[in-house]
Amino acid sequence: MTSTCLEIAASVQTRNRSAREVAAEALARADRFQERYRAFIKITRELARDQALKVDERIQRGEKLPLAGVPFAVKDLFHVAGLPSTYGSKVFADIVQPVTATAVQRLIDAGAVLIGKLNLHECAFGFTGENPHFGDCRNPWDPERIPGGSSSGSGVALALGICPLTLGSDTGGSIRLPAALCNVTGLKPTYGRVSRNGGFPLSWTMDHVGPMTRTAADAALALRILAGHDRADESSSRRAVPDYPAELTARIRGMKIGVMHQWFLESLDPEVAAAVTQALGQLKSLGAVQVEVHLPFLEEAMGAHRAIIFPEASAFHQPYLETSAALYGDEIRPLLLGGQFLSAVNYLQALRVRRMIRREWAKVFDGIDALLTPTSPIATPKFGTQTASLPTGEKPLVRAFLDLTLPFNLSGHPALAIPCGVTKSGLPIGMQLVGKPWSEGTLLRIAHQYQQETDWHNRVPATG
Amino acid sequence: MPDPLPLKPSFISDLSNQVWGRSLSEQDAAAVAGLLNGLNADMQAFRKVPIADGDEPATTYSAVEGEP
Repeated sequence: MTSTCLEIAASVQTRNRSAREVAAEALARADRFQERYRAFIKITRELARDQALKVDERIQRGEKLPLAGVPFAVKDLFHVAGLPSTYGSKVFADIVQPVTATAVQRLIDAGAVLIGKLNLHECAFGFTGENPHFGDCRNPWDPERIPGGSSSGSGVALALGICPLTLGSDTGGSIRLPAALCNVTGLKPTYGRVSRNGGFPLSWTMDHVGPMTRTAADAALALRILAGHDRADESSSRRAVPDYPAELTARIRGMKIGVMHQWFLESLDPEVAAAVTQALGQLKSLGAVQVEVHLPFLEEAMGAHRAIIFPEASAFHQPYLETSAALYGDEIRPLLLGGQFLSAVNYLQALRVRRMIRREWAKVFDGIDALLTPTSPIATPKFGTQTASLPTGEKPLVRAFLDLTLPFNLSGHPALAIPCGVTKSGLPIGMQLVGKPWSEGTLLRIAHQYQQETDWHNRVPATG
Repeated sequence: MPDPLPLKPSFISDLSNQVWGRSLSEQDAAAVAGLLNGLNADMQAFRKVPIADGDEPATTYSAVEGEP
């Protein structure tokens, strides 16, 4: 199924197809690929059939549903009433959740049909998609390579064409990295744009919920539904939600695209560098203007992020560490224990540095419409890879990947990852657009215009 | 600000017992010590940033859009 959300919703709304037929096709495809790629932790067959039936009934009654019959799946840290949310961990695997996450409910209310809960890096605390409890999630472009994480299943289900919409969460790059490595579109909205209610947290002040799709146009449609204040999440914004789909077609002539060679472009795999350079050229051919910028304090932002994420994660998991420490995987347990040994002063200084960094970065973003960077400096590596070979030398993989995405979790800026090329060996390459707070519409418009001129986002892996 | 000395697993183990009342396995104590030593190195840059007296901790989206 490579149809987009827009195409499926149109066909179901006009009764060319029923939501039940679409759901059955998606469920069959999910089953077909599950053993090889482990995209799902649970495929919710009965729930999907029930929801699809209700969608068909609503349409028969004359309701207009923006996501009519669109099959979707969610990272298994978002709660669905009556089901456990494993969080990718044995610790939570048997705890049935009483409520449905606000973001999930909004998609269902708009006519989408939930087909399952997706694999993830345990407790969302990692970027590879490896999981010792539910099986490693594998990249459809090469099953020997990582899909990226932590929203690994969210990227893989899209790349396999199982469904055109998934929900992910992003605390350091967890939507954008799997989007880049699986060749799909992933949006981390501004902090506060989408409710976090009803999902397990990793880091309360840096978690972002967002859609993953095949196209920017579908991401705009999904964000229009997902965004907006939620009384159950006090950090969710009361700002009005723009009509993102309506903004897509406006031209980008004259828009200023910021480029920062130091940090973001100085040490990339040559094929990634060439693809991003070519993408920049295509945006310029559409009328955008290149502006050289300098974001200060990036290394400081990396440190401040660590000073925040570890204590916040440890604080949430502290009760579970008391009772069930041995159930956590050997990779995750030390991370959660470690946060308990960082001082409160260290945490609070990081929060103060975050304020200063936001202030300084606001000056830079005032002069541009978007910052363009690669999403990752290399294409997907094989499982077990520890370092990235870059022109400046070997770099730990965790730094190579997160250096480009993580700063914008600390700051809360919106960031959109889209495909922009493939390597000679056929692996996806992605680029990232970062904008001012609340400028998702601008990012989606740039991405949509780019996707009108290119076909990278339409490429799918040969899965047999 | 001088660089901190490396933490030893035995110190982590003692601290866990004495602060949290929780025994750590040798493997976990070693892994936590390794993690914290890596974090200490990563956090030196931010720890040296001069912060203005008026900069209070930024918590949620209020710092981005100026809302309470």
